[in-house]
Amino acid sequence: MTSLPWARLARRTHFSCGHRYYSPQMSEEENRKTFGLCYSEHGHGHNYVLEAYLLGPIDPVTGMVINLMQVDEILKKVTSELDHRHLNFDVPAFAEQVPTTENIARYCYGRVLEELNQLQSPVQLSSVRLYENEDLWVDYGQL
Amino acid sequence: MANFNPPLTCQLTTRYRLSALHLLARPELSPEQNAQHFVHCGKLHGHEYGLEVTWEAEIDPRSGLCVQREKLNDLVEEKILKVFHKQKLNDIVSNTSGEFLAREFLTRLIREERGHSVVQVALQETHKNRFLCRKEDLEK
Repeated sequence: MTSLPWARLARRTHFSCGHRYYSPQMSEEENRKTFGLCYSEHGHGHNYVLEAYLLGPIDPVTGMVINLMQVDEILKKVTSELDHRHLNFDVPAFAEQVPTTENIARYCYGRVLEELNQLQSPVQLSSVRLYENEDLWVDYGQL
Repeated sequence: MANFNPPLTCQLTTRYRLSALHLLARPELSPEQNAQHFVHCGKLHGHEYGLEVTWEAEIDPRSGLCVQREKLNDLVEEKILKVFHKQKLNDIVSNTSGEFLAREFLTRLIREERGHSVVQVALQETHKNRFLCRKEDLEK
């Protein structure tokens, strides 16, 4: 049996939310020093862009690694848990950890992986990239 | 087959802007040879470079950061922007090609943070070209 050729792909989506850089484990002075302008009473917001990087064998019938509609469904499900919310107050995952770009990227990686595993498909998630804005982004996963 | 799972890694990239003059010319070449190699790049001109600096580290469990933004900004400001921004690059380094500059910038940033954590520089010269240098490339 010949093995199928593999390919990589990326799919992008976006969501908007508020967050505040604040750690209850730190004093006010340490919070201010660590987070600078991002430490404020109420926080601020971003238009995040999330990209999921996938890889897997190319299906010989469809010519696809995965149907992009399935990827969109997963990304929609994951980002709907964050979209138009204040992460510190409305998302349980960030009740205990600071919703930094790094932690949000790690959260998205974990959630996309969970959802992808439900498909029982050979497609793998290699990493995610989360843009806080066009000048700052985080890659998380198998880089 | 062994089930191999590479470790999960976190990289944060910040983009800066660097405006500078340069020209591509080698002093050991004749004017004709320089013109042949570098064409219009041999004339004094400038770019607003996009400089992307990538930092790799574990996410600190207390702060949720892999690097404090101010620390990275200060490092790039001190080592790159203060030296090169609004300058004629040929006055500072011997070769101002995008390939060389990306390598030069990464070398300067890594020297500051020995042992960790800047792992890549990407230099966008125009919207049509972008030069990448990874930490492991410096060994080659």
